Amino acid sequence: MAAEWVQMGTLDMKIKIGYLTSLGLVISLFFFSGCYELPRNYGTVFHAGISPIYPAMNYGFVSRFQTIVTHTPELKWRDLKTTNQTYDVCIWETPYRSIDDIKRKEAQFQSSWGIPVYSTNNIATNYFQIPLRLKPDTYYNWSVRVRDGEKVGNWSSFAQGRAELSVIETRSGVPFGFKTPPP
Amino acid sequence: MKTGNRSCSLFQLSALILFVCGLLCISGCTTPGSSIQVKQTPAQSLSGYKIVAVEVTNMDLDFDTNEVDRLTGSIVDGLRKSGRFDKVYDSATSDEHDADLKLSIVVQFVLAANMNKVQSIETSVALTDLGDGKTLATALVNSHSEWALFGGHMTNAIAKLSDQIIDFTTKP
Repeated sequence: MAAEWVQMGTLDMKIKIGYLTSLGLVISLFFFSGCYELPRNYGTVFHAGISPIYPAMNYGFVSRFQTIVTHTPELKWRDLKTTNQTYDVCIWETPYRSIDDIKRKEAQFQSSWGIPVYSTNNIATNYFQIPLRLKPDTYYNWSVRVRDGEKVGNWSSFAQGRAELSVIETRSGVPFGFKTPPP
Repeated sequence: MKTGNRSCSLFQLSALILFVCGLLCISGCTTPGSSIQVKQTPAQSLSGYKIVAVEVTNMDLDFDTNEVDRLTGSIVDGLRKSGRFDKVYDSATSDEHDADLKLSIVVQFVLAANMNKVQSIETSVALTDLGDGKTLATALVNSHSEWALFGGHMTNAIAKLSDQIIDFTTKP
């Protein structure tokens, strides 16, 4: 009896393992097939260069686009240059028409910063008034870099660690962003 | 017997799970294809227009220049093969200016290689009378590639998009 019980117990265990493995397989396929998306935990933010002061920004690929109150913003950033250096500023118009578009682009492995609509250099201060009126209801990326004569640094951006399905991935080279108000 | 029954149940369960997995794989994929939403239909037949210039404008730099060229080439080639027009040319590369109809395609948003694998292109399309500059017809045309699990290809999305645009241009 004891031997039979042990045998049955082993079989039960095998069946249980079989069930659990199958269940694990189904759950894995469910997530990987795109039927369900786990909430993403955003972790540490890393800055590559200068960080923005205005427009204020949340550090997230999607949440970085806060709606500002003007179509001609004065951009401001943390002053990191030395006396002889200047800043370059550039604004890119993105193709995003809604938050949904940005969420879809988040899943893309790499994405363009958009079409440059304004750029300038030789800025001695850590702020700059955009001289042109930007399009209403439009998502813009912007960035700053330090110029030292002919030598120019990289455009500032941020990177962010993200944990998803126990895999940690980092999205880097994300520019600063804002959204212009309605007309 | 008991063991046999259990084995049979396990076998049936495995088969069921495989079936469910198959369904999940398929449901996780966007159905391949394209869609068209006509915004403005022509007030009259466009059969009088015989020469068409094709102009593609790209608003999303994730759609690279090669893909723009491929889309333009596919539309120009398709329109020529349709036999609907006497002459079709790409306005960006041709020196000709005798078109009476302009087909404008604006690539508005593109989803390139991504975790969900389906790649898509979203465009707005317009037909304009080059004599008076009037817009004759407009539409939003989208397309996407197939199979999320194995990865879609932009080439397929481009082919489906150009088919829809050719259909939109030759039908009225």
